[in-house]
Amino acid sequence: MAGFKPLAAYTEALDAGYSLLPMRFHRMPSGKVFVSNIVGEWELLSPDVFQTFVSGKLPHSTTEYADLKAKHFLMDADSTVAVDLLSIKLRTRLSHLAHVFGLAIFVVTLRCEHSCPYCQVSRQSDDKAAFDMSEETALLALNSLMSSPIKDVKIEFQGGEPLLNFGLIRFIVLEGKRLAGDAGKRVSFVVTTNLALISDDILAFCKEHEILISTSLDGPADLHNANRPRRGNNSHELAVAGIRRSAESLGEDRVAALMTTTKASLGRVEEIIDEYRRNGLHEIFLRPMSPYGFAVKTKWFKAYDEQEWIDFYRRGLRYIVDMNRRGERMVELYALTILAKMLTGRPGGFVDMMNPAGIGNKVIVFNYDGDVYASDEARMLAEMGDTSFRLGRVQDGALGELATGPVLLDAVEQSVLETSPMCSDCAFQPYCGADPVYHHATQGDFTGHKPTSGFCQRQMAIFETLVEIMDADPEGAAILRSWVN
Amino acid sequence: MAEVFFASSVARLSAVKKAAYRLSAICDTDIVPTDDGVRCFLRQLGKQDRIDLSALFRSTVLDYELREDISEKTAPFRDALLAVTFAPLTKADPE
Repeated sequence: MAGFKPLAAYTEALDAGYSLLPMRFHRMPSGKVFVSNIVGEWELLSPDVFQTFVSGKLPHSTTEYADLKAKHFLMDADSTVAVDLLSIKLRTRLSHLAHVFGLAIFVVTLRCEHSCPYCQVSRQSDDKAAFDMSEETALLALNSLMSSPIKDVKIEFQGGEPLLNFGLIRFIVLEGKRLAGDAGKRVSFVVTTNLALISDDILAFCKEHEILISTSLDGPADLHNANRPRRGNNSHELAVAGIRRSAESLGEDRVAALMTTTKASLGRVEEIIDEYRRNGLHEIFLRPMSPYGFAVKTKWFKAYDEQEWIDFYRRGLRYIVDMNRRGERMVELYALTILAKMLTGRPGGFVDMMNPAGIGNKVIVFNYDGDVYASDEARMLAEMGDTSFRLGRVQDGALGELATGPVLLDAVEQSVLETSPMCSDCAFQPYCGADPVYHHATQGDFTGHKPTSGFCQRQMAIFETLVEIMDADPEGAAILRSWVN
Repeated sequence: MAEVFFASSVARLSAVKKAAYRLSAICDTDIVPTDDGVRCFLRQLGKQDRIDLSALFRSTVLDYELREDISEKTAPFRDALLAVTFAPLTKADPE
C-alpha cells in the first residue's frame, strides 16, 4: 500500500548540510550584516547568524535558514531548480540591456536668460543665436534616431533654456511624430525649462502634443533666487507661477521639478521639501551638485564635501518619510531609483545608476552644433574642453555605428562593476551604477578609485540609510515599499 | 607606523591586497610577502584623529579572506549560472 515515507527520509537529506551559493556581504554601522546575491535578493543578518551561516552550521529548522534558502543564498538536498530559477531572474534583471536609445536629448540652444553660478552646461547669453540648433541638424538627428531599433522613444529638450528656441521644439515635435509614425514607433516629449518664458501658446502646444514639463525649483524664494539669478531677481516667482499654470493646463502629473544642492541649501532641507509640497509637487530629487561647467569654474562644486551632502540627504529623507507617516504623499527620487532595484529588480531610468553604464546606449545627446554625446554630463564636460565622450557628428552615420565605437565601448567596459576593484566584492553592487563620466571628470579614470570616490561614498551612505530604515522602522519600511509599488 | 603579519594559513595575498586597496583613502600600506605569510606596514594618511590601524586592517583582511573563500567555494555554481543565463535561447540548428 502506498503511503508517506518515514520522517527520517525527509530529515536525513537536510541533515546532510547545505552549500553556500554566490553572495556578497557588507557589515552595517549597526553591526548587522547585509548579504546580497547575484540577482539582487538580500537579507540582513545578525553577526552571529551570519557567522553560523557561512560556517555551514545554520540549523535547517530556523526561520533564517528558510529565508536564506528561499532567496537562494544556500542550496540543500531539497533544492533542485536553483540554477534555472536564478538564471531566469538574472536574465530579467539584465533585460534592459536589449533596449537602447530610450532617451534622446536634443540641446536646442545653449542660450539662457538665467546666469546660475552652478550652471553645469556652461550656458551662453541669450543674444547669441550661433548657439541654436538648426532645423537641418534636428532633422538629421531625428532620422538617425528613428533608424534605431527602439520602439518607444522619449525626446527631451534641453538647453540653455530651450524655450528660447521654441520654434525648433515645435518643428522637432511635428517632424518627430511624422517620422515615428512612418517607422512604426511611439514618441513622447519632455521640455526641461526654467519656466520663465512659458506662455499660453506654448502651454497649448504642450497640451496638444502631451509634452511633459520638467523644471528647477531649488527651495524658498531667497534660496532659489540666490542660486538662480536673472535680471529682475524673479526666478522663483516665475518658476512657481509657471508650475501652477502648467499644472492647471496640462495636469499635475505632467509637471515635475528638480533641485540642486548648493552650500546655502545644506541647513535648509526641510524648507526645500516644504516648498515642493506648497507648490503641489509630490516628488523631489535631492540632488548633489555635479562636477561640470560653471559649477567647477566658480568652485560651487567644491563648496561642500560629500559628508555634508550625506547629512543633508539623510535629514531630508527622514523628513519625507515622516511626512508620509502623517498621510502627506511625497517621494524622494534618488531613494526610489535604488529601492526599485532592491525590491523589484527593475533597473530604473537614471543613467548614472546603471551597470553596465547607460551612457550612449540608454541615452544619446544631440548637441546644438551637431555633435553627438554619450550623455548629458558628457556634453557638459565637452563645454569644458574635454571631448572624451563625444561619439561623432550627427552627419557621420547611423546611431548604432556612433554608439558602438571604441570611445564608448572602452568607457563602458572599463567601468563594469563586476570587474571593478572594490565594486566586485561590494554587497550593494546589484543596486549601484557605473558612472564613468563622473569618475573621468573627478579622477581622470573611467573605473574610478572607489576608496576616494565621492560617488561611492554617497551611494554607500544612501544604501545604508535605506536598509537601516527598512530594518528598524516597520512603518518607514512600508512607506518606502509603497513608493516602489 | 603599525606592523601586521598574516600567516599564509590565515589569509591569502589577494585578500591582503584587497583590504589594502579598500583602506587606501586612510592608510598607506607597504605589503611584503615572506616565506610563511605577508607582512604589512601601515601608515595613517590625512589629518583625522588617530585610529587603530592594526585592528581595522586585520578585520578588513579577515572579511576579504572570507569573501575569497566564499567566492572559491561557489565558483562552479556561479559559472554554471552565468553559462545558463547567457546561453542562446534557441537550440542550435542540427544541420
